[in-house]
Amino acid sequence: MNQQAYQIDRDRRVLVARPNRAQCMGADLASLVVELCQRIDQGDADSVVIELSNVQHMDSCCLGRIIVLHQHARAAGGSVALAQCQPNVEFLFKMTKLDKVLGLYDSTENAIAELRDRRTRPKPHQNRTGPTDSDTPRNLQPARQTRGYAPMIAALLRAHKRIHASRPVAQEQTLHHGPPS
Amino acid sequence: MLPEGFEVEQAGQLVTAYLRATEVAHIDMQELMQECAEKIRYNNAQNFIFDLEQVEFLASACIGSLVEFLQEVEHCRGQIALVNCQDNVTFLFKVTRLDNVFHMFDDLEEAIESF
Repeated sequence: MNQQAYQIDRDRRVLVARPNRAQCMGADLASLVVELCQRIDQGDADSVVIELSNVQHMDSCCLGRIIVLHQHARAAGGSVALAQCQPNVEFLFKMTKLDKVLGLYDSTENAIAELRDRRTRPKPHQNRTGPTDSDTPRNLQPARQTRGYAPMIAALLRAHKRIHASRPVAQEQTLHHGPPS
Repeated sequence: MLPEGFEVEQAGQLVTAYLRATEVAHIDMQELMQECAEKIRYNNAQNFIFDLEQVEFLASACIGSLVEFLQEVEHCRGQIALVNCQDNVTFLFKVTRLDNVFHMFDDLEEAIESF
């Protein structure tokens, strides 16, 4: 019986792709990447975990395919992560330092959780010490400005809660310090 | 600080980096990428050309640094072009199919026209 080359599941906004063959060749991965890109374009999801537990050997041209998928996911606001790599495959990603770009995870669940977290976490250059928003080149500003509203809204909500929380306390104090009846 | 033999020039939003070394190790590429990332942050750079004319050997770990930097470049809607690649280096990008990700050109003029 002909084994299906891969299967794709979905966990909310994350697609989980599982190549089934022990030898993962560029052509197999190309069709998987095309399908994943299409699903991202359709708005089905924005991030992808590739679970490589079945893959014993990966062709080097798979690297380019995965990077194309990563670019595609990033354009949609998501990312790509790899899970359950076998030693051979892990070596390929570590040797090319692409493990730093994509991230390798021991379990698919951890990879999915990380991808969800990446969506909410600020971009790496926002955490670096250095230029403030006013130093930011013009070509970087539109994207950063939209993200910049989140802390402002959070601060407003905190202030709003503080004001409301302080009201009953103030009334209690007034009652406590008021003249004895 | 840039590795010996490396040079970075900026003209408007275009940065051209000359890698004048026969072997490029991962650490060299990381330092170059840091310098280029600063050009994006402080000097409004957008497009990058890496001239690899003298590079006979490029460590495979450089791929990760280049892809990582590509993410920053794409964030400001820029592009990366590799020019004057020797056979060994071209092979590395072709075998990994990363020639679809990084634009490769025979000379500088061709790359400049592509932006």
